[in-house]
Order: sequence, then C-alpha cells, then structure tokens
Amino acid sequence: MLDHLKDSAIRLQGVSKSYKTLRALENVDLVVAAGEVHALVGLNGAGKTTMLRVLLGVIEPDRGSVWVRGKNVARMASSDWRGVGHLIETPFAYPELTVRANIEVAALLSGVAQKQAQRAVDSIVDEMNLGAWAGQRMRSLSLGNRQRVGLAAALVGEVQIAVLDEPANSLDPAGVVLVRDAIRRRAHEGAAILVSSHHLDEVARVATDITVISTGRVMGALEPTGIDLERQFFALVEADARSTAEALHTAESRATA
Amino acid sequence: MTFSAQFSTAITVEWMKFRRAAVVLITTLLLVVGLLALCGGLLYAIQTGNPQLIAKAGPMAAAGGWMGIFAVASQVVPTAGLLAFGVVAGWVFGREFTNGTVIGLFARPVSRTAVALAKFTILLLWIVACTAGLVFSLLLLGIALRLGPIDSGILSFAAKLTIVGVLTGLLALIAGLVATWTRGYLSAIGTTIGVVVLAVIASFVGVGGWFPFAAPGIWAAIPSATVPSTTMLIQLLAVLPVAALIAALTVRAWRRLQL
Repeated sequence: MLDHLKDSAIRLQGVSKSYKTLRALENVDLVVAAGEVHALVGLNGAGKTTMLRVLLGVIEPDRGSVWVRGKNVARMASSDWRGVGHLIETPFAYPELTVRANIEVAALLSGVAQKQAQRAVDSIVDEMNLGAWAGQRMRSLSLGNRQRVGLAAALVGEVQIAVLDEPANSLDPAGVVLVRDAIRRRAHEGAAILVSSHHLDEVARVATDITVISTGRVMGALEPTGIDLERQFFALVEADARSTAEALHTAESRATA
Repeated sequence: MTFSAQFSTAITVEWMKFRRAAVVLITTLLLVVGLLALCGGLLYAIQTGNPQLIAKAGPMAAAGGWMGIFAVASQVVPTAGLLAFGVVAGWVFGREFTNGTVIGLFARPVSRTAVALAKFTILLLWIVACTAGLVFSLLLLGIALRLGPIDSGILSFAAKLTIVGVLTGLLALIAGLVATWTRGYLSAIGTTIGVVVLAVIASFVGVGGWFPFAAPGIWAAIPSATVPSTTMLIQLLAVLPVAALIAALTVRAWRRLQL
C-alpha cells in the first residue's frame, strides 16, 4: 500500500469527519497525482472545504488517513510541507501590509529563502497582474484583487502541490483567465492541483478529473470533456439525496417496529 | 528547514507585521506620551498648589521634583502597562483568528510553534523597549523641568520602574493565551481588564503580593527604591514562572491548534 501511496501527491483514504451530529465527510477516498488538476465539485455545504481542511491538517479526521507525497499528514514534520501552497476560505493577507509585503510573507513562510524571495514575489506579482497595486495596502483593495493576492500567496515559489478553495471567487473575467492559466501552467510543470468549486463550467475548462461530492460523500466522477455536465452532476447529487432519504426511512421503520 | 531557520523566518515575518501595525503604534504612544502628560500635568498642578490634585497624587507625588515624577509613574505603570501590553499581546495572537489568516499558517515549512515563539520574542522586545523608552522619557521630562541633577537615588527609582514595567508586561502576555483559546482578540482585551480589576481587589483585601498580577503594582507603590524585602522579592520572582507557564501553554495551544 505504501508504494502506491508514494505514487500520488495527495491521497485521502477512508476519511470521515463529523461535527456533533452533522456528518461532514463519510468514508472519502481521493487521489491526486502529479500533473493533475483535480476538481471537487458540490453544492454549498457538501463537504468540499472540510476535505481541504483535513488534507492540510487544519482539522483531524475522525477516521481514515491523509497522505501528502507519501507522508501521513498526522505525523508530518513541518519541513515536509515545503512546496505546498494553499488558499482556503480567506486570502492569506494582512490589512496593514502592502500587496508585495503580503506575498513576501507567504513566500518566506513557504520556505522560499530570503535571497530568492524578492524574485519569487516579482514573478507572481507579474503573473497575477498585480503590478499596479503592488505598493498598496491590502485594506484598500477590491474584493477581487484581494483574491488575486490570496492566489499569489498560495502559488508563490516552486509549488508542487496547490490546494485552492473556490479560486475564482470574486474575480472578474480577466482574473478568472489568469487563474486558469496559472493552474494549467503549474500542472504542466508537474504540480498536483486540487481545486474546489461549485462552478461546473469553470472547473471543466481546467480540470483533468472531476469528483462530485454531496453531503460529505464522494458520489462519482465526471469527465471534464463530457457533454451536459450539469445534468450529470445533478443526477449524482439527486442519487445521493434519494439514498439518504431511503436510509432515513429504513432507520425510522426499524425504530417504530 | 531546521527549527532555528524556521524561527528566524518567523521573526522576520512577525516583525514585518508588528512594525506596521497601527494598534502597536497607537498603544505605544498612548502609554509613553500619556504617562509623560500625566506626570507633567500633575507636577504642574502641584507647583501651582491645586489642593485636590495634591490630595489625589498622594504624599510622595505631592512632594514634587524627581520623587513626584516617579511616584506618579509608579502608580500608573502597573495598571496602564497591564492594559496596554495586554491589548497588544491579545491583538498579536488574536488577530490571526479575527482576520482569518490563521489557516494560512497551517501546512507550512515554518511551524506554528516557531510562529508563536516569534510572536512572544517580538512582544518581549517591545515591552522592554517600551518600558525603557518610558523611563528614559521621564528622565528627559525631569531634565526639561529642571528638577535637579540625576543622582544614584533617581537612577534607582528609574531601575525600579523599569523592572515594574517589564514584570507587568510579562504578566500581560496572558492576553495572548486567552486570545488563542477564544480565537480572537476581543475576549483577550476583556480578560486584561478583568485581571486589572482582580489585581486591585487582591490589593484591597491584603493578599495582593501573593497574587502575581498585583505584585509589581504593590512593590511600585512602596515609596522606596531600595531592594525589596525577601517576601516581596519572592512575590516578584513568582511573576517569572507564571509568565513562563503562560508562554508554554500558548505555544502548546498553537502547536496543537485545530480549527
């Protein structure tokens, strides 16, 4: 099993997580290999962000294991996170710092050496088209530009694994194209990319694999080049709703018997 | 990445944030300028013979001169210092939760342990610098007011006030722990105010010296710059393990953090 785990950049195996009575994840398996752009799609509250939080060690799963580059996240040394970039929920940016300073902070915390940090910052500022705002403080930026800074902070340096939660959030069409190109470029260079989204059309343009998640469960996969993805997506989500309703009905019947 | 490299990086990052933070600048100015204004104002009132203010300032301050300056400062620093240092300590740790940046500190080659230790290091350096700046400013104020030459007695008062300020700052670090436990800085500020109130109550009921959060204030109120009594010395030294425990609990909480 370990050899197989080493082949994948990211692997979740039998991961379950509940918050009191709320099931957030149930027996989730997921593999993302180097060079892949793997999209998690699901409705709001489906468990996408929880899955990403478990992957990054922000929360511990109740059951199952999470592996990053063949190492169990529960026992990973901090230095093993080098080359992993992420943007979960809020852009990693401090309001009192300028755009440049914020990206520099992210670069340094990602393990980029101080001597190389300026070059890495210049490169990502250019890539995310943030030059015009580089000297401005975060608090003065629009929501879309804050998201661009968050993406820059996630992708600065030599990223081998990127975990991006709703990366196109708040972005204008130009920003969406920038992010799409940035993701494709890194995957082409061999990085493993895991993105979550509820925008099927958008992820279909960039993903190599699509996993549908609903009420914390993996419901199946979609072919990014497939026809009528939306209909296929809702068929999987509705199948989940039906099986949940049937399970509830069975449980109630047993309780009353 | 070795731990020393992680710590060095964390210091660089924390300093970038700390030196640009409005809350740090405003608190420092309020503490230093506010205390100078208070001391200068009280001395002026004493010189002009305002009986109400003379009564409020107490017998030592009422004497005016260098003694008056340090008497006023000794009354103010334990309380104002606890509040000011507590607000900043609470903010330094709590803002990561309030701003939502704490999640960005996960899955990094620079561990959260290194980040928490760097926060403490920067806070300690700031507390020492702030207290030293405060005492130095008081000496400059005294010189400006032509209170006479600075002799060894004045320097002893200055040294005592510096120790009181630093011990107060060490105790204020509890705000960082509360901010971590409660995931935000507002409760930390509330806790700081609560600690000030408890310290005052402990002093009133006569157990203040053994309540570490009150000990520096009680020593500061003693109108002498001589070495404290053995009991007082033990009570003051008790601040150090309390501060170390606060720091250890905070670092542990950061290492084991789950959101």
